[in-house]
Amino acid sequence: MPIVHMAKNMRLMSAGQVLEVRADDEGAHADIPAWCEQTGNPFLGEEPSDGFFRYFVRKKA
Amino acid sequence: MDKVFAAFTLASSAAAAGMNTTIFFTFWGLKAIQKGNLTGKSFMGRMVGLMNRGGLERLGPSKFNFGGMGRWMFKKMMAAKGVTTLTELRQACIDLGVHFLACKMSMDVMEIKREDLIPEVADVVGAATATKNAADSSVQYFI
Repeated sequence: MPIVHMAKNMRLMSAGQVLEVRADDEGAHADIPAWCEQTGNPFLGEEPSDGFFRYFVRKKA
Repeated sequence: MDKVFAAFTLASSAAAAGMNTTIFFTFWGLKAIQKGNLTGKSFMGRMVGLMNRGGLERLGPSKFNFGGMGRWMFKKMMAAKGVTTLTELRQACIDLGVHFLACKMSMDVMEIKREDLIPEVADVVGAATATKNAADSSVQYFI
């Protein structure tokens, strides 16, 4: 449930802050950008790491 | 079990995306929001309550349950793959503000009282309320 955790944490952040999400869930590749598109929070990109992926999302203003 | 997974997964995703989300629980669906105590008043009502007590831990798959073997097997397979449990998913829905509505008519038929449901259930309503909510919404799923 990376999306649920991401959404919960984004609520606690202020505009402009960047959230790093770490997920080893293959669904996250499509789901995180989709969530960003739906909610209007800019998706900054993803990079592979050791056994998981790191995703970066900026909280919208 | 599988159907409740679908409901809670979709609801938590929708709520996570900032959508106003409601789940209307009818008939066996009520088992997903019952505390798990014995229910019923009449003989038949008590039999229904005894044979299917409700509560997330007791839910079996809609196919291949084989008297509980299926439930055990699917739980094991899900745990091995690190899939979120139903309990965690339901809590995520609650934390994200998903509204749980219980069907009044199903509760009457199955002799389930308000106190038999978890306290997070927002209201006990009829089909008219469910229809109105559906009409006002942009997406509906029937599971």
